[in-house]
Amino acid sequence: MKPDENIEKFVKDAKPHVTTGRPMDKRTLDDSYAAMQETLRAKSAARKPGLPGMILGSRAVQLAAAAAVVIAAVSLFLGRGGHTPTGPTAEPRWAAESPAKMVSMMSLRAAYRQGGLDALDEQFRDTLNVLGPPPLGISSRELLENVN
Amino acid sequence: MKRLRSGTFARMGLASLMVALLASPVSAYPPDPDNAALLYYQGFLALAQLDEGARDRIANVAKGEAVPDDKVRADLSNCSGAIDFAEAAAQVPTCHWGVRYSQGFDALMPQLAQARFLTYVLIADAHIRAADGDYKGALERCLMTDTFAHHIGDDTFISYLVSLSVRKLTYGCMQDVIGQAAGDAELLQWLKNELVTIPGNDLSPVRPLKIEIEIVTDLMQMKNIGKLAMILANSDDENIIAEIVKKADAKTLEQARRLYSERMKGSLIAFSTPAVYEQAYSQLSKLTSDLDPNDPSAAAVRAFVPSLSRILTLKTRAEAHANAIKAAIEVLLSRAKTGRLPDALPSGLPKDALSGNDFEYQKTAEGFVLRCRGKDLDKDEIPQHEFKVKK
Repeated sequence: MKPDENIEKFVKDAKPHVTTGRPMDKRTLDDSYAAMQETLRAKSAARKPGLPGMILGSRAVQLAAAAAVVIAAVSLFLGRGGHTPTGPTAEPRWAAESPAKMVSMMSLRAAYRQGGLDALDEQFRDTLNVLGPPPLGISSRELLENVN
Repeated sequence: MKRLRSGTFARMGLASLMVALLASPVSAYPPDPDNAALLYYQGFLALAQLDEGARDRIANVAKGEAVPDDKVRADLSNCSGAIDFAEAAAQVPTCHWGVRYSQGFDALMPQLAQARFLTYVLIADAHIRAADGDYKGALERCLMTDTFAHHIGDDTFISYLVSLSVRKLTYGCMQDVIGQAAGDAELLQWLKNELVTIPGNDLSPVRPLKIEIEIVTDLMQMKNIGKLAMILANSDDENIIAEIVKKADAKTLEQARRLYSERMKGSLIAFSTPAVYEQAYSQLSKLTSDLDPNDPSAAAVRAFVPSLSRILTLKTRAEAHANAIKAAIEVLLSRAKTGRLPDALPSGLPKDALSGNDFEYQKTAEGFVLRCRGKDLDKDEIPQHEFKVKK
């Protein structure tokens, strides 16, 4: 059986016995966060560090990916039995699209929802590691070199 | 001739006036920005390009987790341009960051990450000034950072949370510095007067709540189902997005909209009505606790309603912290007069915002503690503020 079929079977068989609510949400989050951390750690060890690595390895993205699990539950209910994300390959849209999405209102909200002010702070830290601040070492000569 | 002479004099007078006006250095310059955000943005551009280690060193000093060493001093010396811009910005009352509300949740707010780091720079600088014995300089930095928190504002929930977070760091530093400056009554009196004049806690979650209601109710419509599905799916998986789009219908979204508006308007009332923290907390908790995750519309609402009771707690704790600083200044002023810490808290001091009562005052070996009488209901803990008094 393929992994996604496994998941579907699990959801189908086990769902009637699962009590949803805050404790269940927390348990799901903790488990998925731990699993994703391990996967991301393995991934980052396997590749050279670079911009994509920094984005994927950032705690912000891990948190957002964990958020995907909970929000996917919403999609499941909206879709009444739709798919679940197939593991860590389902990276958050804003990170996959562009690093700038790390600072979208949605992404920042997701970070806060998952880990409060500490997670928000961590996301800002990751943002600075990826995006800036901009270099100051531009001389006026360099600024004007293409003029004339 | 007389007429001619008076006409000539008039022309000469007018010419002199024009020359004087044109020669005036003040009128020769265009005015500086009247929007503080423009100055902060320039400050962000002027922040030194520090590596991650340097940024962490600065953050650790700002958080009071490390004492300033030579490395941090060198790192901060590269940030003087940014600090200059922040100083200028603090003098400008108006601050508009230019958030693109039309983009809804896709609006980018890169300035907040930079603002967070600038806060660390300012507070680390305050700690360095205090370590060098320049307590007034350190407190001036703290007051400037408090203005910065005010400028960060309440455009969105995230801005509001960041401003609370900046305030927390500022008050923590002030708490540390006033203990060190406990013997300087004149300085304490100056700070007391300054705290009366600064903008105070007039930021509130009401404005961002109203903006979120607009964004979310607009989003929960069939015309925006693609965008809504993307947010709910929170992934690139086209299948999930397509599935949500396929299964969603106008009726479910209409129910979700109605439920969301009802809950969020309830929260607006709770945040706008003066109430004891515990009572408001209970009201806000009820607004989200009964949302059934198995009901499609309620599940969608759960995805968008922020953690209202936690926001209330953070707001109330910030107020309690500000009041603790003001109360501590009075305690230290009393000490400056009598030569010893009072045995009981002087009357008429700002209250603990969590309970609405006076702080519990306790003298310790190192100084004193102002303890809240109400609990942080999220963390189930009683916050306390310790003031270590320099002998």
